[in-house]
Amino acid sequence: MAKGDVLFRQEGTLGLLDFPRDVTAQTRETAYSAYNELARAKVKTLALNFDSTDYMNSAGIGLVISLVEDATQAGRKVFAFGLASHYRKLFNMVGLMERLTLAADEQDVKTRASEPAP
Amino acid sequence: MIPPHTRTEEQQPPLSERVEIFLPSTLGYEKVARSAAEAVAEEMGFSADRIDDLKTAVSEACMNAIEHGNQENRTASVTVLLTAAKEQLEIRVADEGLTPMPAEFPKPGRTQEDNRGWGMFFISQLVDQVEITRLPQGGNQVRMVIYLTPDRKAPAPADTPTPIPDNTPTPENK
Repeated sequence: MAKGDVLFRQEGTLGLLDFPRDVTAQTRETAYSAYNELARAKVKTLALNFDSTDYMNSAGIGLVISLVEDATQAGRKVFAFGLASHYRKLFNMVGLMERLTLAADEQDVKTRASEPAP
Repeated sequence: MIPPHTRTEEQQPPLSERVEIFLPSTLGYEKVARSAAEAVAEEMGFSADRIDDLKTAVSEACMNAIEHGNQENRTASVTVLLTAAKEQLEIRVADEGLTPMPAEFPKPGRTQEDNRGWGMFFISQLVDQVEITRLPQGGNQVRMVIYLTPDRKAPAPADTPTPIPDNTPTPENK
């Protein structure tokens, strides 16, 4: 019953993962596949787009944790946008908000990703 | 149906109102229980934030029942009983107990495959009461209560989130 796959886009050194309506254990395969494409392309910044997501369960959040862990360990800056307030609360509970930066939208990510590191 | 939160004292039912749902043990059907809980909570006048908390707690309890209690055996059912009372909503999620619930849940996060295991943690954080029991006829039951008025909320559990440790990631690291 899961809805959709994770898709990826690359714009220069920015990689975007577009999450589907449902983010669950069934999302795992396409999420890793999309992420690994961006990792192979050596993107420096990863943006997680949750604009289309309206259901994320604990398995889906576990998946996001794994992706964020990998990206940060590889030295990538991680942004997220489009996240509903309830999921921001759940991300905070599991410590994810300390590992990523919330952005207002995709344009905000692009602006911030192009800024030189402090 | 008169929404419970708009009823006068005289219109309040003497007994609670109940909704019972039977789910097949297939992942995804937890969303049916989630939608039902949302509808009942809206009728009762719960705030949008509390309804979001409730939906996550119900989903996670049903997923545990489907995946662990019933081992995704499609012939086994998960029973969800929603009981709306004047000031609270009680949710009971019962499985057929093909696997007993552990006496103690393992810590969520990296200790489990793919950072799984956050379900019971979320439930404990999002509802006001949670109780796990083994039913006399067999099966596991998670009983949750969420209050209409947040100031009736019971003391929060002392659980703290497990920090995400820095160790080898699951996906390829290029």
